[in-house]
Amino acid sequence: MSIKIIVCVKQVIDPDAPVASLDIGEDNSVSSKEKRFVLNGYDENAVEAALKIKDDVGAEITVLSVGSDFENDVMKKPISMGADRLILIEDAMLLSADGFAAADLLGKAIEKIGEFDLILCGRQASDWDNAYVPLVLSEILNIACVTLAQKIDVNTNGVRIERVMPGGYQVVETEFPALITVSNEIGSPRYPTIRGIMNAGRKQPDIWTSAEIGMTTDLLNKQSLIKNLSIPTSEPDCEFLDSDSEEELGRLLVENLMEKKLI
Amino acid sequence: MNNVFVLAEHKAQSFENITYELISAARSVGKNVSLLVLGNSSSIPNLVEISSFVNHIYIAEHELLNEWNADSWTSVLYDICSKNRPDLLLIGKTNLGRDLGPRLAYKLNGRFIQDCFGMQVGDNNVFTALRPVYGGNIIAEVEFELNECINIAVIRAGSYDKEIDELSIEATVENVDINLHANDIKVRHIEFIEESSSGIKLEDASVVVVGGRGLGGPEPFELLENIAELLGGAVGASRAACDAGWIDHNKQIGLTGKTVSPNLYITVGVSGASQHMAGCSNAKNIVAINQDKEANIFKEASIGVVGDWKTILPSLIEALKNRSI
Repeated sequence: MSIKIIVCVKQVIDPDAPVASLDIGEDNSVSSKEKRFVLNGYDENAVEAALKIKDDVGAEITVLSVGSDFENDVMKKPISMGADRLILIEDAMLLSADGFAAADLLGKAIEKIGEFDLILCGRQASDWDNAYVPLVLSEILNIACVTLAQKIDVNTNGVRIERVMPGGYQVVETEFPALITVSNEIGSPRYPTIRGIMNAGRKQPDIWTSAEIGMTTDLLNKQSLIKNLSIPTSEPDCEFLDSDSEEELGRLLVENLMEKKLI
Repeated sequence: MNNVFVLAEHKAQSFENITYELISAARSVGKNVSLLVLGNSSSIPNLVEISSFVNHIYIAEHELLNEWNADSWTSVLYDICSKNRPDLLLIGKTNLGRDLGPRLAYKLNGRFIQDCFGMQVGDNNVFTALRPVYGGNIIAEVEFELNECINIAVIRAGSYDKEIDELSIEATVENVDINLHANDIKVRHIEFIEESSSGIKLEDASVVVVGGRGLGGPEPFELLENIAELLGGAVGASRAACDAGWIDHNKQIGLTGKTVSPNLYITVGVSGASQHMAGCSNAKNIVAINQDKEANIFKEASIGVVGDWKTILPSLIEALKNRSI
């Protein structure tokens, strides 16, 4: 068997970029002074989950993203890892769009793509940490939604999923079509292969405009709730233990903690 | 503001702490607080323990409303909210809450705010709250008027006091008619597998010893276990260490892992990225051992040791052992 998988991904500012490199605009947008962009880490986990299914039972993997200012190298990474097709919905207006609008757009794009068995998404994006786009998307498409997958087994009727839970994991089952959000417990994303990199070099993404998939401006930005963004500052107040020999430091720390009655 | 609804979470016939925190949050902004208690006949707690804290209680009891079923909960909550139109619905930041909140907001065509704290409602019905974004590097101030649609806020655990004053009245209780169909349920719960971890539970430990990327491999975690044992604490890890496979993911502390609030939090080779700090911001004393004196962890720590853990940890263990003799 072979199944059709759509993986939704997002380009984000590198979460490891220093806070000082973040620029907050007057319109409360956040940009990267260093232009350091990556694929959202959890979305890479979702790509990895799709590739594991491809290894197990065979799959055709379409990667889909809505956004703006896409960097080719960033967006092509899933192809170099082994995905088959890349579709980008690029629209400058999307800079100010919220998650509900993004879910609407993804829904319209998925309608245009047509048939699918599974939609995989990262559990959340490292920029806004909202974790709601996949859930809203599942409602728009009226399909099953399972969040926080650490393992996905595809069988003939559907999928068996292990979900990360406090104190253990939950096993659930559902039929196709379904949407699953993937957590980092699924395993590290694989490295691109030489063949994959060459593939990514040749393959051009399909670029669709939001108008092409039937989206109009009034549907965007339904929930502009953010009034202000600020970078919290805290005064560092660290007492450094000092010694000429590193061997002394362990003992000094124990003494210090005992003095403070912390141990 | 008039009507605030609170979604109760409960386990083994007892209300979870988050339920009390949400009631506390609701009472700080609303006149009339209603508690929504969903569950099946074997899960719904006795209401006596909670009925003096709220004005009204909706009970929805159905066999399909077990704690594992976001589909049935979303469907029943939709019916209750669309019929009774609360100004605000508060949900806890739990697996269940985060699953059903966005779906419900979409179905109700309402507004939705994830993971917020510091909620206030002004006289003019303007709602404001704070929420961390960009892994906690940026704080967003959210503001909107309440009276246009149903608004749903997911509240961060631990941001409101769970001790609440009793009201002078008892809550009125109302049983909700339930209209659940088998085809509302798309995901079937099969089983829950408990992962036993030996020793003290990470969330309950008063001392937590945490390893990060700087440890370079799984072996040093044995030293951390030694230290934790000598201090009666538990071992945790940063996401980097878990993702590298050095230690099990159930030890992960941070934005997407566990949240801990120990008296003493000792980090070894942890850089202190805001995503990690989100899981330990309530720790009372943070000790950082790290080779890089520019590491962010020293901005958060109260005691810093700059140096190589390979040298420091053995002498630390030695000193701890001598202490107990």
